[in-house]
Amino acid sequence: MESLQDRNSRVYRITYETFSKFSNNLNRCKSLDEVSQVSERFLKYLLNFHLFRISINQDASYLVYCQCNSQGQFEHLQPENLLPYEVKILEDNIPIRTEKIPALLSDKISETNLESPFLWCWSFKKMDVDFTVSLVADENKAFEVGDIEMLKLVSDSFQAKFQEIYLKEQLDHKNKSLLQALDVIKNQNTRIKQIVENQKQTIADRTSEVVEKNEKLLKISALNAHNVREPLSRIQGIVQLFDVFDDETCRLELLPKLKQSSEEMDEVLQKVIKMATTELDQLKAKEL
Amino acid sequence: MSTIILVDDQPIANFITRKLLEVEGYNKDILDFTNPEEALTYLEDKQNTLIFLDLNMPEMNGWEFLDYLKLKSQQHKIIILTSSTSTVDQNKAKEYDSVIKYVEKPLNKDKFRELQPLLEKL
Repeated sequence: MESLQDRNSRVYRITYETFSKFSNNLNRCKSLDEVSQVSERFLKYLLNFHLFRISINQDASYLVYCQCNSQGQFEHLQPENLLPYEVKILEDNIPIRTEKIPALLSDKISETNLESPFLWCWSFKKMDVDFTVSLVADENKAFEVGDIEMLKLVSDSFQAKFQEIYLKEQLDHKNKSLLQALDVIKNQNTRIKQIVENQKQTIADRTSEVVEKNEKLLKISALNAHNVREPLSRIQGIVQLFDVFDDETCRLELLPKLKQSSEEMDEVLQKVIKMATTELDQLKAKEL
Repeated sequence: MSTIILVDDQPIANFITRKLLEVEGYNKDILDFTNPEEALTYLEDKQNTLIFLDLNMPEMNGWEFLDYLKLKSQQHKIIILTSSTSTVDQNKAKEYDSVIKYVEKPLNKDKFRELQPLLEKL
């Protein structure tokens, strides 16, 4: 005949082996659906309950997992849409054990005949994350204070997994956003490169134009300077001869040549002015 | 002293050079040409003639004139007399052994005096 101690020891061992399997399976879950499947499979062996509910704060909303009649269900709720007792326990952190079961929960378990049901609820905080765990049990599936240790283990496991999935989703979302941003940056870089290339080409074209214009102007300038200098040097040459010749020679020989050279210089200057004006007009026309 | 040749397409330029030469005492055997080709024809059977040569001439420029003399191996002494102030022209002139001086117009007394030692050697 098995003693009570032996029985308790065996129950304890079986429970923790089950928890070990639950925990291992939960660890391998990649999504909330998989978590639900593991929970539906193992939770009933770990705790006595008709309904199990865990609500975990994730940023501005709560992820709520509710398991009843071996069926799990997830939903996201705003804090104000949590059940009233959950709102209360999040405020005062005082564990709840009450016979008053909200209709929203009792409706889910109405198929079973409850005998003296109680609603239990606890609030926890782990790594700055608030969460509540509640369950409904009755005489048929009696939850006792001694089961709280297991409930805490299960709750921690759920919380850790939900947080992991949540963070992974956030990370995926951010990665996706980053990839999109990277695409945008790549596109912008391509556009910037094109603009820079266009600018380079424009600058090269403009520089080439300016160099060409400058060369042309320098050539014209040099040519004009030379053309002007020819008659000017003759005028200077004649003027210096005035010092060495008598008045008659100056009047008869030098003056006509001086006049001729000054006329030639005037002619050259007229050509220079005309050429410069034409060039200037052409440059202005190009700029327009 | 042998004949001095003046080659410039502008008669007035030749006139000024001639007058300056005359003032300085070189009043014999000065021939001037406004057509470089005629000057070359004259120089065909001459050697060691002093030539005042302009560079910018429409029919045949001074460089072509010098090249022709070089081609014909004619030995003359050339004084380039030009209104060009270009250093390119000045450097190019140094490439010709026959060019003994590069003078910028207008030729005046001071410049002429610098030429006198060269003229006296001839």
